[in-house]
Amino acid sequence: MSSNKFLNKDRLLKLKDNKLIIIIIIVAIYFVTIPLFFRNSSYLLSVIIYSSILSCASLGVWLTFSIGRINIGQAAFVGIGGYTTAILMTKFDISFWISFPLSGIIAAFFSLLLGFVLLRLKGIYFSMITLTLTNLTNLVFLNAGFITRGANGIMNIPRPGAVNIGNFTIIPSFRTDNYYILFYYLVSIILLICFISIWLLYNSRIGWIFRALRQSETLTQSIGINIIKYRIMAYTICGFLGGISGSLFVVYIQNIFPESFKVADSINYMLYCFLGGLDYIFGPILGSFLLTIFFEMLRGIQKYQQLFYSIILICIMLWIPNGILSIKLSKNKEK
Amino acid sequence: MALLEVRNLTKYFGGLAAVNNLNFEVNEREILGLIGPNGAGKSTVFNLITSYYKPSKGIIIFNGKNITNLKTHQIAQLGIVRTFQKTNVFMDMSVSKNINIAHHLKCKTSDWEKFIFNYKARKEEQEIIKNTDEIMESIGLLPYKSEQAKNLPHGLLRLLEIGIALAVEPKLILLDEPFTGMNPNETNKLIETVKSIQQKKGYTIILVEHNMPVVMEISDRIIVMNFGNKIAEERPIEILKNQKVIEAYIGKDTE
Amino acid sequence: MINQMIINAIVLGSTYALIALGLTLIFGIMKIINFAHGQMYMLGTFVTYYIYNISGYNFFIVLLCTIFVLTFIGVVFERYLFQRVLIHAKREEVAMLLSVGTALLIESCALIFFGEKRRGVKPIVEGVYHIFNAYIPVQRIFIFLVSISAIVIFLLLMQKTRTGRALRALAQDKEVTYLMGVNVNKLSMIGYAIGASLAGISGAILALEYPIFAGSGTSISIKAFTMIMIGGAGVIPGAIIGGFILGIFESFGYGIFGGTQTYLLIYAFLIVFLIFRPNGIMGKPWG
Repeated sequence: MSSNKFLNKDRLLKLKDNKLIIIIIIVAIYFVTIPLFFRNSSYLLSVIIYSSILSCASLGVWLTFSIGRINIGQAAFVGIGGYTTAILMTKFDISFWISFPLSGIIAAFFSLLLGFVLLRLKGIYFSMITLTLTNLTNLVFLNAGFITRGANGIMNIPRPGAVNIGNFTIIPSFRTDNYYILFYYLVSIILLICFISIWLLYNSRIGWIFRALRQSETLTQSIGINIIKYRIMAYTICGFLGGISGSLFVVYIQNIFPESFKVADSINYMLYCFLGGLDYIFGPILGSFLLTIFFEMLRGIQKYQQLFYSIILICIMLWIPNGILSIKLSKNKEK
Repeated sequence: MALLEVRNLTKYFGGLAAVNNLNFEVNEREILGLIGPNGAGKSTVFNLITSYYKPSKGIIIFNGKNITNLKTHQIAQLGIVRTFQKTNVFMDMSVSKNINIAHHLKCKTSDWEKFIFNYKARKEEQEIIKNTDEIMESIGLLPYKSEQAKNLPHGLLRLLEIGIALAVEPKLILLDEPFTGMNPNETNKLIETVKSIQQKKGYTIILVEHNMPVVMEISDRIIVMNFGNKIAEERPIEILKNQKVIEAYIGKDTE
Repeated sequence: MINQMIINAIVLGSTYALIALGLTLIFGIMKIINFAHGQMYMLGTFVTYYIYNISGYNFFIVLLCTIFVLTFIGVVFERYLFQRVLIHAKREEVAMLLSVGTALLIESCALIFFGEKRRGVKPIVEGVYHIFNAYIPVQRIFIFLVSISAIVIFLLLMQKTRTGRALRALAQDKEVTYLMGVNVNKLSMIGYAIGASLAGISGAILALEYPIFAGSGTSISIKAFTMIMIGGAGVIPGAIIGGFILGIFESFGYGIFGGTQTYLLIYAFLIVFLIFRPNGIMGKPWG
């Protein structure tokens, strides 16, 4: 009977059962083989860890792209999240496992506030003001010495500790020598959760409202959708993702300075989305990984790194402006 | 009581009054034609009613409620939907998706429920899909349901706009020059559609249109505007004899 | 003290206005934000360094060379990069990221060629005037005069010449301008080149007073954006107003608050200001 098939969750979300199984298998392989083969290569693991954290921040930027906004200010929220975790852990001795979600929430709170103001700006005005936002937070961190220690930054941020219930260790301490593997699992799981959440969001009715916002705000309004509410929703989630990436960065690198996350980083998150493909939720993740790995390969020619970077950027815009994922014949469209 | 009342509605752009002290009413189940030469202020009236512009003076009362200061989406929630002079649909979506999205106001699920797509949300989606099919069927778009809107010819896009408006199930529909650029075939089809939505669903319609024969045929009453003012308000047959209307369109006869 | 700040403000404002004019012109014509504007300014500073400081040619030659260099770059970018992308891209954001790419390209090339060293230039005129209870180095008067002249020439160009009128038409409505038989592509190149040259000239001028280094572009770009946000994008009076306002804020800010806090306050003000005037003082809404 035709009505019954709609009650099958997967069918309605247009994901065929066997495709879901393939994806699960790939994810499982990722989680098993990488630690298996690379557990001793801290270098490789660090590249993966770094890429994964960048992917979270970029996913946020992707979400704002999906409502038709060019957001060049994500580094501001990564910074807010980072400083939140740094301050909570060093000044107040609060465990990472509490600081982490708090960083996301506080970053989200600021993007909520700012969203009311900034999202009223259209097109390029919005982009320009988000650009200055990153500069603003850098200056705030620099000048708020009483909390952020200003230009000295915050150093020796401890790594996450263990989580015990009674005698049971749920999460082992990261303060051991094999912290790379632990970080790998941590960031990969978080990235997976973020990706699945964004995927569910974007394929729900809310995601379609986002698409509608991108295509025609006037029409969206006229059919009764509160465009302010949904714009702010997208921007706040973006801020949250920025905040938690900041938290992860800071606890991985173990320090933070006012300029740790600046304009160049905001531009990078945008670039990762573009490289992967703005029409695909996996785009920012693919872009982050590809570019990070690519630049590790270029590490030898430090001096020319930025030059190559700009040439790649220009070439992408010239030849694959719609991203890598748009090249393959779209049978896997996540539209 | 009239469904919609417009009192002393005025809108200045700079020093120019695009709409000047406009007063009119629309009754339930009526089709009111709004005509006038280009620049008469007709689309501005629509923009004012739906809060895309804020009036300089005057108020708008819908169903007894003063809606002048409400936001566009709130006005839609109360039951007024409009189409646009320049075709406005979601170009990168299919026809069915366009109409599906417009069911937003009929949703009883919260945002969270939509996100987790629980049983209630799934049932609701099922309903909406069924209703979307019905709407597409009623306006003749069912064969195009999976077609991307940007691939549709102009006439079908105009129909789609109406389909989107129908999905909202408003009480009052404002149609802004829906017949522009349509061939006679499409025009006849649209006339049928407009008449049927008034009769079968009981919607009230205000129609801005330049196509005179169409306006004459569909409207129960006609208001004529010129330079922001209302210059006539009569039944279609009378309008043709109205001196002021003729002057407005053709110009004064100079001897 | 106040007089000093006012004088500084006017001088700085005049050159900033020049920067803003270039940016607003490019935006008006191509509807994209020239991210490389600051880098083009930076190139102007290096022209001053090499041609004036080392070769000793007079400043007029410096300005000519600046115009030449930036026009060349502007034309090449517009013709081979932007025109191509604006045809092929599915989404409009692509042109913007291309703009970012050009900025990085110029900056990284500059870093490779010029290194990271900070340089300076010997003064073009010696002497200080003491007027209105303030000290005005003669050089600063020179800067002011050159900037104002450039602004006036630019305004005359836009108002009186055929090219200028065509550019204004292009900014208003690209399709109509095209239909009127204007070679829109060539015009875009000219417009972009003029905008780039304005940035370069401002750099050449300010190089007399400020340090010259390859990384100076980014902060100038951000200042230029701030001016546009305050004054309004795509409108010429807006650029001039924005430039002077930022000059005033910066001079008074540095005078009263000092270094890092000045821009903190400027950005905070900007956000609050945009609540009330989202399109700047004179701008039109761009969607």
